Amino acid sequence: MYDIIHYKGQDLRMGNLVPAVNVSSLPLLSSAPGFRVWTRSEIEEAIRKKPYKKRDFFKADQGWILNQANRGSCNCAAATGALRRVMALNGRNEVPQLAWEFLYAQLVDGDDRGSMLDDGMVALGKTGIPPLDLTRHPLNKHIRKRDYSPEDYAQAQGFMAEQCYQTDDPLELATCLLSGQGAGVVAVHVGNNFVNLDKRGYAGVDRGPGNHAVCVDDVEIIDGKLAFDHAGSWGPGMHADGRAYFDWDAHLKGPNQYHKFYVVVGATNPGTK
Amino acid sequence: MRSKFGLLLLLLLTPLLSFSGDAGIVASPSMTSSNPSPQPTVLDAKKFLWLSVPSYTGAITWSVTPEDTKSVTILPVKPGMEYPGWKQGDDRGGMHVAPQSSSDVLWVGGEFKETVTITAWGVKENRAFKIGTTIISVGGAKPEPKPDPKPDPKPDPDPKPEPITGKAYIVIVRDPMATTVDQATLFGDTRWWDEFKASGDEWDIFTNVSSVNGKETTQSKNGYLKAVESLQLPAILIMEKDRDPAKIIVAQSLVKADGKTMTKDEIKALRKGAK
Repeated sequence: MYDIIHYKGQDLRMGNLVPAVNVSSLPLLSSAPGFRVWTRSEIEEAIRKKPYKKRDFFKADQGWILNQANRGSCNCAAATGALRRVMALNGRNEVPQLAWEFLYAQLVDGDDRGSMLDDGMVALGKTGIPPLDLTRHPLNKHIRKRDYSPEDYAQAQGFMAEQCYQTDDPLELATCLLSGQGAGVVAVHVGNNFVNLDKRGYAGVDRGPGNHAVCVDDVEIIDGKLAFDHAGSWGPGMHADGRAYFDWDAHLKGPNQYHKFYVVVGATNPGTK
Repeated sequence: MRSKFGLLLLLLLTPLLSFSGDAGIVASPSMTSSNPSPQPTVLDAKKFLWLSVPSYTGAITWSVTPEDTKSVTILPVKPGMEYPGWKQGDDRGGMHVAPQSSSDVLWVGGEFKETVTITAWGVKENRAFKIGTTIISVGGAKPEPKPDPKPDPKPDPDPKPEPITGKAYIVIVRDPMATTVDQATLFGDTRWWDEFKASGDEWDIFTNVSSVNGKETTQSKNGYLKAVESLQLPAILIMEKDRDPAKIIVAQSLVKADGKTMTKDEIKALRKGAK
């Protein structure tokens, strides 16, 4: 059974399943050849030198905040958000909205039971996601594999992750998000507090194993601590235009004991020539 | 005779295995590319496959050509033993059992883009003999074409690069695992990069990945990785946007002699200089 909270007259579904065994199918970022995690001072320098905040670039009114509505597809909305962000940062000319429910269909095949982070990331690098076509696939309807045509699957191959890694470390995650080309998918626990936004921009804190998946795409320093900026998938009506900060210890450390977190650092790009 | 019969039986009974070489070397899994004959076995970077000669009972010595290649790592292992890793064609990493064989099995890990030939050698009457060879395309590499017996004697009609007269296509090739703070600041400023588009230029940032799921990436297919292989990454390529095939006018590292990353102004000057 999945968790539901009531917010502004709506039922919000959680769909991040806790894996029976907390293992990763993808390699650890820290073991990737050549990877060096930045020091805390390098991270602070990167934040200072940042030309603008990602929340000012990946804005809700430009389609960067999704709405999973009453589906358990948060993990797929988060993975899709990470993939599209990496594509945009790569300079890919065409970054259409992608069909995150196609990705969800690959994981649940009609059974709206939610999914696990690890499965979503594997599918991101194996199957890909086709552009969203609302005339053929209206939202909240098509979550079976057979709802999609061979053409959808062929198109999906053009929108895949090129490199994904697993990370369980706040400095590693921050290094990747600040590197200019990465976005991540993490788990957070959502209860009645989560929907609140404090004056510093943090989401409310609920304790639990992590029943919701979200995309993280930026880092700030707030009150001397790393604040991971997340893009939610319940539309711009949640938090500040769909965004709120997470503190590692308060929001992410607990869920990370049950879920591996992931980063996308490369995505397919047909190029201009 | 018996060994040939055994080999035939193995082929009939184990459809997952197939010959990819000329004499009895079996690759598992046997994913071949769409390249023309001889069909190489495809191996992505960071994945592995097994090679074995199931019917050969003696000791096998394996060799790789080119000898100094760093494109593959090989490791002879005992049949039936378990090894962790990410096998070619699998969605996930896991434990994998070395296939059954009468002789040692070879674990082959893919590293960099290159076509390599692996040869199995045996010993007969105190003399080495070749049991078989197989070609492996690592990281989306294509096999070397056969040399043209009648090379075209005409001189290259266009030996000098031409300056860009129209719009430019700017390509950055980077290793996403090795980004400095200054490079991150540069690459993360998408709005600045998009200023090139205002004047009709285009830009893309590619990773140094040559293949994904056995498919060659754009950056490899279009020769960008080849163009920067001798340069320290990240590197910049500037070419004419509307010219097909692309001719690279500028190819240089973004890391200067003093170890610092080129600034935005220096990149703009580089683009102007290519005009």
